[in-house]
Amino acid sequence: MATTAELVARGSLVVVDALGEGRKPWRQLLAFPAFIQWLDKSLPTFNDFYSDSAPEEQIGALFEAFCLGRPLLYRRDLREIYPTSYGGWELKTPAIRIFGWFRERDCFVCTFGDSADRVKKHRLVHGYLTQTAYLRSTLGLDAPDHVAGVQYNDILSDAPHR
Amino acid sequence: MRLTDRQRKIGRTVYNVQHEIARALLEEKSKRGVTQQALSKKLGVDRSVVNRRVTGRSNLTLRSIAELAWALNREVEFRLVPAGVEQSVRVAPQAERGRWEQMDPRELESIAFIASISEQEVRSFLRTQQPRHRTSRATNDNWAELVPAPAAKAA
Repeated sequence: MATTAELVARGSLVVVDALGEGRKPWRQLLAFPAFIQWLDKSLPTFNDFYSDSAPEEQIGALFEAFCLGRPLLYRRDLREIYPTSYGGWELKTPAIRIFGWFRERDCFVCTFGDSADRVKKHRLVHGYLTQTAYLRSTLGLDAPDHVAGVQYNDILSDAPHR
Repeated sequence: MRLTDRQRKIGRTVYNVQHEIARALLEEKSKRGVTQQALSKKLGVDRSVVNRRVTGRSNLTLRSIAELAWALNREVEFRLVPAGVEQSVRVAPQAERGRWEQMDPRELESIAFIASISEQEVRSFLRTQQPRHRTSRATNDNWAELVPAPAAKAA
């Protein structure tokens, strides 16, 4: 059994630095090393001809809003994946879907990312959901290894901004 | 994430505008039952056009933003302010006198970070605030005091 901090120290999970400049986040974003590779290598190659911002700019803005603790919009910025017993969630932008789970309130672990069009066209949501649950099981996290609730307040708290 | 400042600014701005439109629509929906269908009827366009605009799946023009604002019975506010100030001013926590003592350390940390000052300076600032009504909140004006004033113009 391992804590999140131990897994980060071991390199099994990586802290996503969405704010830069050493700024401390309100909410924490963690990821598997393979996801970081996808973020750095694959994401910049994606295009979105229908939106005002590029996919990587969309993800940058969403991750920033997440880490700053800004209020997110359910279904627009994130949504739970059914069946909810797997504890899987997706973070959403117009062009990209990020899959993962909430380790605890305000702590999201990213497992996979893909283009929204591809996910919808090939119906990949449930494949990513089961792979997410499998990856989570390989970490040997202390129980409970994910947040079971599906209400906004179960998974997120908002920073006192605005 | 290896984004340039330029990319960050673009992403953040587009996200904020789209987020605000989606939030306004949700608010109107919960308060007055306004649907995308009703908006499309009011605007004289197909529902898919409205859907693409509010979900960020189409480029928004100034005209389309203004049209959505009209259909949602909203005013549009747009300002360009010096970098850093906007975020600082947006932070308006309950700064009642003495409240800092009960403040969540993360809240203090967050204020300190956004205003680019130390947590000690935040505490000092809050101590100087006059007592307010229990439910009052800090105004933009007094939070603007945390932001370094621009250099005075040479006479």
